[in-house]
Amino acid sequence: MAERLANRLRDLRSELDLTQAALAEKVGVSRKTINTVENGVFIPSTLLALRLARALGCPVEAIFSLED
Amino acid sequence: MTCDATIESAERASRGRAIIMAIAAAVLLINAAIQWGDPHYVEPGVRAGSWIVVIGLWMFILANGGGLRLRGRMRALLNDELSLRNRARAVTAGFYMSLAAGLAVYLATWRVEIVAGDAIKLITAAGLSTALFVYAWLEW
Repeated sequence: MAERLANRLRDLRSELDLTQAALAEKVGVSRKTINTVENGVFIPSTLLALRLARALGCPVEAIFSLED
Repeated sequence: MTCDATIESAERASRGRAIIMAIAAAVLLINAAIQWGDPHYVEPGVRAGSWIVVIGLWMFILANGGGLRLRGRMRALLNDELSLRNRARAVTAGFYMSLAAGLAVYLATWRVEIVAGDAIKLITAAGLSTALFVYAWLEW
């Protein structure tokens, strides 16, 4: 069965009223990286996932989940 | 500099790098085509040596992402995780293109005589320009 990585990054970012650029600045990556993660084009490393979670103040599992 | 300004500057620099790499790839291919079959460009000397310098220079730039004049945060943003992934994909594409160009030259020698210098220039130009084009495309 093919599994897909789903993410709620856009929703969580919007809840905190952060722009992609602001989140990118907090995490220390380019805006394009945030955009591609949100769109599911780029699957981030564990390190980046943890940095995103820290920036958003939530656990990694709140951002990423496996989708069948 | 505000956070948005830093991010925007990095984005502009990234696009600028993509444009430069695409132009370099085109110039490499054009040079290889122009110099094909001309003995002046493969005989020992400055003209033939310039190919080594050009290939070496662009290999170096591709390997480290360029922007060496940039420091600290800006350079980190320019070479973040996504950019490194894009570079890895670009280098992989360049590697396979080099192999394909090598096989094409090998097959071509069954019918026509090809000088070793011309063959090497074709293979290096094909591989490197593919890597530069793919990187430019992914980074745009």
